[in-house]
Amino acid sequence: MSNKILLFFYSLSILVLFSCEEQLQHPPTSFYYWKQNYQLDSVQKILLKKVGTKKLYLKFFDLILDANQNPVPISKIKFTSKMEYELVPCVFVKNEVFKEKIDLKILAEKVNQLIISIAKRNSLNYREIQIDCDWSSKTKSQYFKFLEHLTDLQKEEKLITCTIRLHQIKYPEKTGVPPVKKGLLMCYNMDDIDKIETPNSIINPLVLKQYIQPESDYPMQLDLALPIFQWGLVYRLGKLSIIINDICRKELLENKIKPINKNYFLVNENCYSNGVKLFKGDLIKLESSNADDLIKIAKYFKDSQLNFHQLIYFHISQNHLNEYDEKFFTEINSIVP
Amino acid sequence: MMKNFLLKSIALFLSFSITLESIACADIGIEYDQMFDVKLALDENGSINSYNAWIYEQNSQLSESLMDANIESWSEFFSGALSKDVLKRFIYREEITPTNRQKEFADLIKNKSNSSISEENIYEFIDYIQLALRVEKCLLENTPNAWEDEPIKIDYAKFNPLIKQILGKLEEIKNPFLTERYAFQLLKLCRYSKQFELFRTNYNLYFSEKESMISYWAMEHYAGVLKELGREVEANYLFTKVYANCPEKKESSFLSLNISSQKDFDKVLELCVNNEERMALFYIQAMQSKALGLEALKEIKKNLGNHEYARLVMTNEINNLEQVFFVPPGNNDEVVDFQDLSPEIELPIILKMQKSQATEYLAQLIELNKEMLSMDNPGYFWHLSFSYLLFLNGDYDKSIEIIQTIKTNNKDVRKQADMIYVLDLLKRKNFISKADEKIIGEKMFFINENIFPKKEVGQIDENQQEASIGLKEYITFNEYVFSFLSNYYGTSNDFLSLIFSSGTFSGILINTLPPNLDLNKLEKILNDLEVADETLLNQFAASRFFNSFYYGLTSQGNRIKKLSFSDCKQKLIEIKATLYLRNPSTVQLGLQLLESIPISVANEYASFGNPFTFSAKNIDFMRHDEMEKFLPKVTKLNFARKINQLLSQPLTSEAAFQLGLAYYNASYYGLQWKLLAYYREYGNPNEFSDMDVSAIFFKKAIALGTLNKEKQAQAYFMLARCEQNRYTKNNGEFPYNYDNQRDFDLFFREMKNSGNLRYLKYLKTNYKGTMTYNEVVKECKYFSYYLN
Repeated sequence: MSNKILLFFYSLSILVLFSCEEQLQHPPTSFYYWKQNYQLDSVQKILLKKVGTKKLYLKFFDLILDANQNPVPISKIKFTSKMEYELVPCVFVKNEVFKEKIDLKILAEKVNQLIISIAKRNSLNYREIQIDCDWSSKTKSQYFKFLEHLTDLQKEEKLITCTIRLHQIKYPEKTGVPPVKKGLLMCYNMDDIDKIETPNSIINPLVLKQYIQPESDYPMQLDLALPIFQWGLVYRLGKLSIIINDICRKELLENKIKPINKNYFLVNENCYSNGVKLFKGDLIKLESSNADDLIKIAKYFKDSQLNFHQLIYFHISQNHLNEYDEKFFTEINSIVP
Repeated sequence: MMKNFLLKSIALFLSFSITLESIACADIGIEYDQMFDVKLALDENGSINSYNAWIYEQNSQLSESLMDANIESWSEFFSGALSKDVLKRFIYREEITPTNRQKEFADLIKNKSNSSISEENIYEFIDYIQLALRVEKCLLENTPNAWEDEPIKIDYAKFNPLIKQILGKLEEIKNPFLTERYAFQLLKLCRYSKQFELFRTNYNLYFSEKESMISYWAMEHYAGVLKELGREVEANYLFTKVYANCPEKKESSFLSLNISSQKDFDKVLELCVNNEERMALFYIQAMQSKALGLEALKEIKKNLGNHEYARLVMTNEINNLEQVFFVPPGNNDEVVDFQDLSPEIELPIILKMQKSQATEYLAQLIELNKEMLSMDNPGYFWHLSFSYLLFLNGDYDKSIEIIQTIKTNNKDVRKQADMIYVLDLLKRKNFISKADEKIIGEKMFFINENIFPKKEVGQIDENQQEASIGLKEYITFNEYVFSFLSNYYGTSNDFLSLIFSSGTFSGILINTLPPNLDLNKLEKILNDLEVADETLLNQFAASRFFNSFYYGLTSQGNRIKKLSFSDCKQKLIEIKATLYLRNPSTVQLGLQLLESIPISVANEYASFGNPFTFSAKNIDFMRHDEMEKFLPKVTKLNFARKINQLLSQPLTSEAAFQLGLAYYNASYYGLQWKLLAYYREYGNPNEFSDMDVSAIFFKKAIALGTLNKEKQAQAYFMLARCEQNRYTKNNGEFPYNYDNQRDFDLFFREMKNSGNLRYLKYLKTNYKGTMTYNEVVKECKYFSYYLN
């Protein structure tokens, strides 16, 4: 082998190593906290400690339209335990809010003020605000203006970020690119939840491939949100009727709901489960974000042009964290570019 | 809701604007609504007694009843001496700031209807309302602002003096009516200032064991207090009790009840003291969103028999099952069509189970309904529901058998029965006999009659909006029947396919005719019309298709005007003639066709203003429409005759010039576009937008050489317009955003560079100084821009 060829391979290996080194440099793993009452239990605290979490993304409130079609905040967060992490306030805004003709500047001011007020009352500091809205082509203009107003209000002291869904990353020319410095790609809830035959509506590597191509790119810095949650989808008379959040196989079995196979259950008699009334003949599909699929997805991203800064898992505010350990997060974080 | 529905309906019918290509499959999206009329479940007077979030979600009737009941009670207090209107204005005032006592007294006395009114009562009333207003003000000031994070700090300095004042008043007054009212205000203050012990003491003192209207209002507040204290079972029981006993509070108590375990349900049930309460609890549970009501239905049947609760639950269940078993046209994606399950599906067992839940549930409902037949009322509700369930189960003969036992002249019942009968007829056989066609035709005319009160076209008032609620199921029914028949008749007869499509004649006209409807297709439809049987059913379909957008909303009155095939043929010939007129070589044929049909049809579409004249003014369609009444009317027939006359003679410069003007003015770009088209799409040249026809005539007019200089200038200017229209048709409209002049400059420059301003150039070079030139400079912004 000539020296030139050796030099080429040497350079290449340096380059690859350097690239790998760069890929591993995600900030410490973060989580979403999506419940109204902030109070971590011991399992949650232990997990956060083990994975070295420094930052939590907390939903501060939802923004919806009231009966008079005025935007109104609901489900405002309450803190019943001390916040010991860096905090990113998140606001979920229903898309319909931007279908109405509203004064976006005033709305931005109100949202900003409410975040300030919640943070102040609970002695919290923050450097970023994240807005979560599944905007559409009809609402993008209003939504983007709202983001601009919100950004202006921060006077460059705080960063405004927003969520980006898979269809928005696939069709940026149609859905537009929001006027923020950083976005968060939501990599879950990706398949048709209404169909009982959908293998897993939360996460499915095959579905991801329909949205993300190896050449996929996005004109802004991105964080990545990955799912760690489970739910039971209740199908009644051929249609999805109810979603039972944060439920596991064991809980269904305890309610004498008959397993058909690994993921499907049949309700044999009318009963309640997790506060939800179930009826004879209901079919429940248990879905969760399993580790294998998450790893496949992480590998798929590795082969794309996309790079992610922060990795955030949705969500820590649940009762079924036992199956996730430090190793799980380390492995996924090491693969995601 | 009603307005929304009306708008939705309009949108719905606009969506029927389909092309002929899609007629055969008739696979268009319709707005599905249930076909089983919910009105049939109500009591005979049609009143709403049982609130549920399913049907009456946005109905204000119940919330208004709260106000009415309160006014009624005050009216009784004054033995009718003060009218309800006066009381309503006095109690439900917009301004809640208390006003002067004497002034209020004078106002009320002035409005009393007889002299026997007690002055003392009036003063008591004023004092009470003034206090109630202060209570409202206090509560309003202590209502948390959603945009503020701080939890509201109860301002006891505002609450407690009021509480003290009411407690004092309660010691003074003897009148039980007023005692209840003051006690009610007291409870509100206690609840919202979170003085729950004081609430409980006074609730027990003034309302315990009572059954007055106000006592149930107070009970609802007590339920709210218990809920806040975490005593969910007791709270849910009181909500149930309020629902069962207090008509004005049905909505709020229905929406407040929330049970999340069987244990809690059983506990609430145990607390219920009578059947009414127990059945109200079952009813509320059954009518919760997405719930299955069979279990509750059995209980209600056992305890109350043929009660409104049972009928409403059954209607709700039918609606649930209808969406599973009955696949409305255009909604295939939203229902699981069990018949078409492919064996390759990954989860056949799961899907089979999904089906069996629905089939078993349907079978159980049929069984229960069968037992209800013997206790049916004159409204035949249980017969209708039974036959419809049998239809859903595919038992068409049995369903017809039940329908045939219904003997009533009640039109709502008859219509529902006929709808089920028609559906049975369509589904039970593989063919539709002549006798069936006749029956279906008769029933379709009957079902669709009088669905709007008599009104003129375009006048949609409150009554019509009311009536439109009952219209929804007919729309779904009609569309289903037509879709079925459209598939049944197939594509062998284009006329039948057309009238059984979900479209309307108006819908066809607002589509660009060619290529959607060209002369060949029209010819085929007209030929097929000649051989189609004019059965009653076909007549109904034709009448519905060729009438207006709105079912039954015709200028003739309140029902679909029956049209013969001959009437339909004339309407189609009118379109054919219009297409012929667009081409100078077939104008004579077009004229012959127009002259062959009744003058009323030939002249149905007209325009205003003279299309044979030149104008340099910029085209302003809106202003033209506004000025219409001041302009001469030009009918299609007259237009065709004049064109034909000009074309029949040896062509002169003047005739060619007039023809050029006529074809330009009757094109998409001209003010008389309605002479050769039916619909003008803003910003998208449609229909007759071919500039070649008029351009050829202008060129001929110039070439024949006898135009004077002014007319030559006019011809060149018109040629420039044709040229510009061709360019914008292919390259998009001028950017009209004058804020951004750069875009306009760019567009104009590109047009110029592509050689598309040669006639303007010719006008500038050779006709400067003519009157036409000067006029064009003044009137035409593009020419003026070109010159500068």
